[in-house]
Amino acid sequence: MTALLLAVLLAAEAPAVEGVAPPAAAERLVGPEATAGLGVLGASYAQPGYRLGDAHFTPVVTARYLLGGFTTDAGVLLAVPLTRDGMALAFTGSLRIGWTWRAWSAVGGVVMQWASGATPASQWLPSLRVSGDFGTVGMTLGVLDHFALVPAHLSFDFRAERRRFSLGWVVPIGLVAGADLPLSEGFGLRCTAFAFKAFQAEVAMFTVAGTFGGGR
Amino acid sequence: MRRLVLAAAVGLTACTPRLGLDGTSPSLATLGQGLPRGFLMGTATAAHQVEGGNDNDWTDWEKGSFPDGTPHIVDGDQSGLACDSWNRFDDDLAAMQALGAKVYRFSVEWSRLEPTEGAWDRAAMDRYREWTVKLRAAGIEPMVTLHHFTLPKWVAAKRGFETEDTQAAFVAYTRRVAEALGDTVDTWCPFNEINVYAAQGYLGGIWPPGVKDDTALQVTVMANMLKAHAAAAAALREVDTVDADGDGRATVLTTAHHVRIFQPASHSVLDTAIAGLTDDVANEAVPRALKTGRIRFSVPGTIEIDEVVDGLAGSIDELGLNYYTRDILRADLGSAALSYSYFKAGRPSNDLGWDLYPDGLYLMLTRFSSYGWPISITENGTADATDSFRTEYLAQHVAAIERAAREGVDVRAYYHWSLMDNFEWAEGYSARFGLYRVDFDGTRDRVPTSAVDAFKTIVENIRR
Repeated sequence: MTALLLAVLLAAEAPAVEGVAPPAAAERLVGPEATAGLGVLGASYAQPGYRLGDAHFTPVVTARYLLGGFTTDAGVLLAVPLTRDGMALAFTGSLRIGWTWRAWSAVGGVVMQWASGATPASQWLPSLRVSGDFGTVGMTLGVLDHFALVPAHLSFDFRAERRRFSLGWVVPIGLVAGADLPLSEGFGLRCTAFAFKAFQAEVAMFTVAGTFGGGR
Repeated sequence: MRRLVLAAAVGLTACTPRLGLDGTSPSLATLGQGLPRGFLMGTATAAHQVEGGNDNDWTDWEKGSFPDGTPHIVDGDQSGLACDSWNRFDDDLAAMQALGAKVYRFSVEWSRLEPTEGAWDRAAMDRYREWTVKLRAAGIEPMVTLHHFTLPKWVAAKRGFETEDTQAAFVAYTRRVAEALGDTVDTWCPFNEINVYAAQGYLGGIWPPGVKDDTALQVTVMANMLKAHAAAAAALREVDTVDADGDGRATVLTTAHHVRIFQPASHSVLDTAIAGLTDDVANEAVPRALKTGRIRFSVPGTIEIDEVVDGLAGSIDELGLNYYTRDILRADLGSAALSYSYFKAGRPSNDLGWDLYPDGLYLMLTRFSSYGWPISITENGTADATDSFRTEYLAQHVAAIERAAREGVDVRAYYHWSLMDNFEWAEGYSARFGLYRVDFDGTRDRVPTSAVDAFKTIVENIRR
């Protein structure tokens, strides 16, 4: 993994082929960004007359950094259960790397969740996100995206001036939606929500975050 | 879409109502007054665990060991003479009377009644009849379980409920018992804990036949037992036409269904989804099949069963719930069960480490009341060798029943597991579940624990 990272970093720093200038950061689909937000998360499973689950308070911080096209996407999420004696307090860390072009960006990596008192304490899952730009409409495909909380989703972006709205389908049945609302140069608000049902599980989350930097 | 939005809203605020009964000490002075008028309190046992002298598939299993040399039963125990109830039923009856019990759930032993195929032991049947007559004379309503985990050796040799063929033999046995006991028994329970029998024998591999990690066979066995239940229920209704207690019903059919709280370890989608799947197979599939008449088991990537069974819908009149504890589930995709199951650390627990979680009984009562059947608690109890927390356990669980009843749940009876210490399957004689202590190396007298007085007080507090 270290060798692969070095290779990618070296490739990112490699001089451009004569006559073919690499795209500047501003010309790439996404740019460096940091977000900090708060959310609520409900995770439960249901049967007729029965729902077992908990609501959680979820502080979340994410960051994305681009070195040339090489993209690092990382974040941490803390899930604090709001009920006594329910699900465990859990910390989730996500680290994904990939590449960003003018119209595409792809990152993949791992999500590690550590749950207090759980056996085993940690749980590792892969995570993938691919975004594309088709003019006024963009598309994002995610597998175990959003800290591996969403099994898979296919979302479409719509831009209106500097604002961006997205709506998508969560597999097997559910919705994911988001909005980026710029408040000033380099600062804005991002609202993200998803809700889905997978087998008997029903999960829903709503997050509001401040964004620093730019890009999708 | 509306349903999805609703699910999202509820999901965000989903907090299962927890009563916080654990750690409380409900007042015995009034406990029972909140139970429905005429609520029935009693105890439960099973033939192989108390009778002694049985010869069935379990007696073979008890002599064996796992490949690593560990005996199948803790401490290498064998059921042997057990509580010797076969010869000391009068002692058991006296113990029940001292409790003020109004109901008694016990099982008849198929291997005793039909030790070889087609050969019936009339004397053994007469003894069971003697018991039901004595119970009724003592004002104790018997509930007879026909299968409580054991099989005659000749049935086990034919692969038991792994095959549908066993159904015919089980129905023949059921008819014999109904013919002999029907005029003294109204309440019948063809099977005890179909889900546990299949899980321990075919997933955990710790009960006979000792098959491990065979999920397909596990759910096949459950399906075959449900089919046998439907056929046995029909036979009981056909044969037992005598209303023994004069309540207008000659038969009351039930099943003793083991339910557990399966709590996801964390908010992780994997933990939540797998806890939901486990709950569906273990808790929901059997009542759903009994309600709809359609057996549906889905273990993704392993087996799908979807079959409508004649006579299954309507084959019970009441639902029996056996409730003990709560499991925490952490996803483990490498295991057949898809999860690692454990008890939460730092919680009150019994001698076997089981979480003492009375809220779970309330949750299960409110949950299964949605099916519309009257409910009885056909088992509930705890392993407490030092007689230090059984009274509190009993009080907290009765308080949970009171709460559910106040909220409209039609709950009618409570059978404490167990009347006395007994052979606790893989745990052997190490787990002490009895309201009465039994010294298995000594006289086998039934010695009251401190919970006997509490039980009696609760019975006296019930409005008649």
